[in-house]
Amino acid sequence: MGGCTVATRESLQGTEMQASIELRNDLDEVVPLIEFVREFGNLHGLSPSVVFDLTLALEEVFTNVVRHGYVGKEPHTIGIGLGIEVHEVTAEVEDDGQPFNPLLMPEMDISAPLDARRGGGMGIHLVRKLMDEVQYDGAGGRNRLRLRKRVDGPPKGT
Amino acid sequence: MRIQETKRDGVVVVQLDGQLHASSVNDLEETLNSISKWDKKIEIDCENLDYISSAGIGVLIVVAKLLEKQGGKLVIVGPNDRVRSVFDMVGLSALLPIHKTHYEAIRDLK
Repeated sequence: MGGCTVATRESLQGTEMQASIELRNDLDEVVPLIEFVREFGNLHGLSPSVVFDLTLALEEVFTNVVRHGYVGKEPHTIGIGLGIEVHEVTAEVEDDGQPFNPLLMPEMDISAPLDARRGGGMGIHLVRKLMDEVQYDGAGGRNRLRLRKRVDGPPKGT
Repeated sequence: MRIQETKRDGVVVVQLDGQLHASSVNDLEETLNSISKWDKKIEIDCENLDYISSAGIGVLIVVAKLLEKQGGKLVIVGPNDRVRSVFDMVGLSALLPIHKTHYEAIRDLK
């Protein structure tokens, strides 16, 4: 691993994660994921609206990893982190699945008629709309997706 | 998430209470697949739905497509503002009707 790669990781780690959880690559783990975000939101006085958006964005990223990140049936661990600064919440999803940058997926066509629409493909589209910033880092053989959302005013309880 | 199925004014109403996410979507899929064998007009009552993700929206789209092919229809009733905003982000209202009340849905489905 060269110095350049380390610098990239450090720059993405500008915000320290204040809470983290490890989930199995199983869609049922969405339940503890939702609870994790809810508790973080409570602790830091986030508005219900921000908690909703954060939860949804994380669910979409997490379920994409579960569905598409791995070949085979072995269990894997997906790490979720949450951090907060005065005007911004940061969320991070880290996995050791196949290298995949979701930001490279083409934009979804939301004007396509019903018979042209599939049941899937909406996840990353939602993440882009819900979050103010999305960054991907594939260094060290791990996928790391960082989401940022601006929040109003200083957080309570910190 | 709790799913309640009733028949009101000649239409099958599927009421969703709670959160529709990737872990609770299988029940909805099974329920709708089962209903749509016999009933081609389905109303999804979202008044008590607190949360929805693309997993749930995907199931609604797939069932709506299926019903449309058979001359039927799926409509959505009463989503709250947040759920409605998720629908809007994926352009759902252009694909299937979203009504405020059951009565508007009835008029649409008959």
